[in-house]
Amino acid sequence: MIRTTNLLRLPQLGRLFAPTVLRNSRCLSHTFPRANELNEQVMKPKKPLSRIPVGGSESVREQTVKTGSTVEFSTGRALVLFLVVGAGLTYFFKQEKKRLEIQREAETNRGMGKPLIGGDFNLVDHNGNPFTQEKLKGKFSVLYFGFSHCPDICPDELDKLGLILENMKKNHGVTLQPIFITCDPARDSPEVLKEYLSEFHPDIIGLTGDYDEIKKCCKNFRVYFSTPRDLKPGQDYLVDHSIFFYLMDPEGEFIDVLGRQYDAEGAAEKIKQHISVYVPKDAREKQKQGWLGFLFK
Amino acid sequence: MGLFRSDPVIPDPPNRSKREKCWESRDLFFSCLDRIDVVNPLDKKHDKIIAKECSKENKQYETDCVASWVKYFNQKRPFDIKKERMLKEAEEQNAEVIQMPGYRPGAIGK
Repeated sequence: MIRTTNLLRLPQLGRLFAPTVLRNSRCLSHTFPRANELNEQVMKPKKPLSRIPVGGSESVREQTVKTGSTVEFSTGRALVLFLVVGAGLTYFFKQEKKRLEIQREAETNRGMGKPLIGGDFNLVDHNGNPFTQEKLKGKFSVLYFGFSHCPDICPDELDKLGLILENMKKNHGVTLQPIFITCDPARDSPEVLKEYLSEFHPDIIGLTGDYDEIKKCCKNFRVYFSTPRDLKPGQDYLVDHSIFFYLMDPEGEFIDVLGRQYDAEGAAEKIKQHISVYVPKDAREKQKQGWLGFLFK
Repeated sequence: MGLFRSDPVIPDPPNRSKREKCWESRDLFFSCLDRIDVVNPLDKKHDKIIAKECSKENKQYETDCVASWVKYFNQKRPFDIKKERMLKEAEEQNAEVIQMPGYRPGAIGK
């Protein structure tokens, strides 16, 4: 009885096989699935009509999608766009990172409260006029400590300073205020400095002063100072001193030192970097207090 | 400045031409020292040979440079030679000398 009910459930095609099935009842379990497969194959093309757009076959619909859309990219174009945008963003963020790094370096050098390096001084320039920290304001200055009887390093460094000044003027449009402070006030009078410095660059301002003022100034700039106090006129001696260029901002505060390892181009490049990221004190304070302040700490 | 007066004379700071002349005489003297294999001219044991071989150069050097400079350059010479030898040795061992952009050639240690 089971046999017959199953047979009755078979769709039309199944019924075609029914006589065979009846003849060989043992094969029944095998023949049924085969009948079902056949059944599906025949049924496939009969999809619900609603999926096919009115007045067109499926293949036509696919074609219209490909040509009709304006947003779709080819993989190649997408890749190029990705690379261009990616490279652009990488470059931008790298630049920004570098800028902030230099700014932070300068900020660390400035320190908190009392400046770590620099500060007020009370000296005399090569024309005999008083010269204090006030005169550093309004322009970037480069300070150098040395003495006119210096055997080889100071003249080398002053020649380099001349090149740096010209380089900055020509390539970056920046006029620096170069200042030479003597560590040897006993021999370096304003007149001596004037003559000595005129050989290097006309812009260089020579500063001298009395022994204690010079000593204080050297101490403030952490310059090693070994000049003995009591010297007889005409005595021949050398002075040990540190050899750095000090870059000062237009507020008269210390930014960075440039050691002897730089050549003129390297030093000019470093100075240019500092100048390009320089932010005046008021603006710095504002940045720190703003909602993005955490970035500058 | 009188011939018989002993007033101390405040020497003018050497100017560019004077400096260059001094350096030139120094280089001449030092190349003479190179010839007789003297590294440290301040070493007493070399006094004789210097007096014998390089007295002319030495005299010129001491006239063109003030005493403090002579002393300074003489003290500096052994260090410069040592440094030069180290660099040469490194080069012989195929060490690559890297010249970084923006830095002076041989900036380290000078």
